[in-house]
Amino acid sequence: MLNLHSIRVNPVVLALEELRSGEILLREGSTRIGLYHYRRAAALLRLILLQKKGPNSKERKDREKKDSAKKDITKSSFRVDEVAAHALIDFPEAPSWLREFHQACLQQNIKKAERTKSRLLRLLLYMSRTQSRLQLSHQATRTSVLSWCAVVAIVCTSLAFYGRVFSLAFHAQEPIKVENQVHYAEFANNKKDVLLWVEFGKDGQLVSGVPESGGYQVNVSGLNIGGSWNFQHPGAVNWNIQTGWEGDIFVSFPQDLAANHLALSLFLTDKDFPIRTAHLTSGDEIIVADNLVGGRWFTFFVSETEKKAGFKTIKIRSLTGGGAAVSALVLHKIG
Amino acid sequence: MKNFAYTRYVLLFILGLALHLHQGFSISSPLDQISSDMRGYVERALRIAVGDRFVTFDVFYPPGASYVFSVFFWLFGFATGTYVLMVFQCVLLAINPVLVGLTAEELFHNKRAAFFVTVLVACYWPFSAYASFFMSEPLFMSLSLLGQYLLLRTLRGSGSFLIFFIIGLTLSAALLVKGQGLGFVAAAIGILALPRYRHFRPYLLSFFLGLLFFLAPQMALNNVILPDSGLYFAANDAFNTYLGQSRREGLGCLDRSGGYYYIFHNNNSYFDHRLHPPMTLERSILDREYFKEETNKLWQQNPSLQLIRSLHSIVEMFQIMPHWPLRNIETFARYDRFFQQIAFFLVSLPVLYSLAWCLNRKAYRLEVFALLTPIVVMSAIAFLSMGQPRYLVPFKFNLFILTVPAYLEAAKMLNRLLRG
Repeated sequence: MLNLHSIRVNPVVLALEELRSGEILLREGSTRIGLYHYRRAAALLRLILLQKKGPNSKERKDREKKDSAKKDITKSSFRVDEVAAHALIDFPEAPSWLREFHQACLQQNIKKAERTKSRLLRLLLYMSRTQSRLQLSHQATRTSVLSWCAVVAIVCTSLAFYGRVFSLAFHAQEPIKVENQVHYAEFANNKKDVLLWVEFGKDGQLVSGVPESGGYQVNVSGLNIGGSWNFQHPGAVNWNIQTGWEGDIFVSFPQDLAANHLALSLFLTDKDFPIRTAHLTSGDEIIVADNLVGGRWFTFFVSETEKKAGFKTIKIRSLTGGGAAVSALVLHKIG
Repeated sequence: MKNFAYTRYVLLFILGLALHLHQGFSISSPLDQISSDMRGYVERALRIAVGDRFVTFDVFYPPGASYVFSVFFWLFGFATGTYVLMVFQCVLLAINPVLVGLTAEELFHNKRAAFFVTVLVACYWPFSAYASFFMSEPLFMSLSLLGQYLLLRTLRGSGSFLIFFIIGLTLSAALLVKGQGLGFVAAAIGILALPRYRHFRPYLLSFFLGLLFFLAPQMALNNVILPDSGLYFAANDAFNTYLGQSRREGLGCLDRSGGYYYIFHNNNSYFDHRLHPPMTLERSILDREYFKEETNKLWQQNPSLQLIRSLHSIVEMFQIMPHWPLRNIETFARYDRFFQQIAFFLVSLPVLYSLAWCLNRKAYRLEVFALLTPIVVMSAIAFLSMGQPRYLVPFKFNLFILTVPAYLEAAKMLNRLLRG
């Protein structure tokens, strides 16, 4: 409670308290009538006064005379007052004359509304005048400070973002070129766990490296030998098969491997196109293959059902940047 | 009582979020629908995130959605970023009914009616279906609803430079996401031009500053990417206008000097209307001046035919037809049609009653003006360009809000009947 004023609105005396939040609390004795933001009060008062003596006040008066003769009044004039009264009866202890006014507005009862309207007008007028005498420094409430901070943050972030975007327009970053597909060699260090290592699109062959005996088979559908890289790197993996939209890889393996924990890994590359990504699914597993610069292995676990069946399918779908490029497949033990 | 009212909205938001997450993660993932426009947005976003160079085609689409997506990809990487983005879209879609409710409450001062409309919006599945697509619509719907709500709320108070700047900023962001944001910008300017709000005119400068905040740099950027191309924020305006006005099934552009060929088909080609066969032009798809000239020629050659075509475009926009991209999935297309048919009875007819009632009683004139203007401007855009049912989707929220007077009257009649 920062300030206390009282006004006489016949026959009651209302107390006016200004709270720290910037709102005005009305009391009739100890009964709370309403909580009202003084800014809203001033705005509503302006609207009411504009209605009474607006730019075309003579026309308005003539119209109001005519309308009241016809027992009709524009809905809008009631609406403004209705909003004012509505805001003032937030609390159930609001005085009966205020409730009466609100009801009169809803029912468009002119006579009843006019009786109580003058009280409301005087109340709002006083509140409006009181506002100008109150301390305005607390107007910078927490809400305003937060709003300013939020706007400044948005403006700074947006400027930083546009700075980056403009810099890309003038001078894009050079795409990362990898001289050696270092990740490809990962499984070479654990050869004893590798059961099958197949390469795709090497030396003009769709699939190579599948042993003729042993019960292994690898087939592809919807994938074709991909074009060569734009840049040739010494020691790099330059072979691949590519999807158009989507393709499948089918892998058969001996069922006597069921005792082992098995996994199937695919090596995907970006082919020097940094936004190349793919969507890989096998059974219930889904992998979004991204960050393919330098190539990466993506691993699917072989389930018990698949081990018993001796068969696994991987569906590959291109997401961005052209067809998904697959270079190799490895079936290996884990754990 | 105030807290209780907000509790309802919070609960509805949480429930809506859960349902949208279920839509996006279990029913149909956006990762299964990365094609066409969706692929364009995602690819461009990823290119910005990794710092790839701009190409001239980057000025074709409104860039707002790509910019927002790129922030997610830059922060989280592509794989994780797509999932976080899915969650973000679900949050936006869950917020929309709340914004609708708050707007309805602000305009019609009836908490129950506002909450009823909120529930109606939350139950209208075609809005929620966007959780399954990486489209610009979820972002556009939230930004335009937020800007509209902030403006309407501010009109009840005394305003400030800050709030009008925020409103301009929000609507500018909406316009950067989709050109249809012009509807909401036009409504805002129209409202602020009314004599009863002349006391807000000192704040118009901050409103326009906010509006230009995103648009001005984008227009400058477009001229950097494609020099001497004029002032615009997306180059697809002229192409879409010619595609719609020429009533072609598709339009391909072969740019020999640039070494590319782009083809777009008319999204209304699945309607049971006759369209002219597709055509290929040896022109850059970004040649706005060419498409403007060709459109003018169509009007000069046969103005009455073009007038009929243009009016028909408006009709097409309001037609009950499954809209793209929902119609890509058969079950989605069926549900979309079903919900649109239900909405005809629960929304369209009550809106007509509301308009008639408001005209008769001369009531809620400002509210009707504020809610209808974006739809009228969108219809004007359809008249000049083309009208696809999906263009209307973000504006349907205003139709839902406009049902409030009709439902209030219905409630009063029911009350009188029950009391005898």
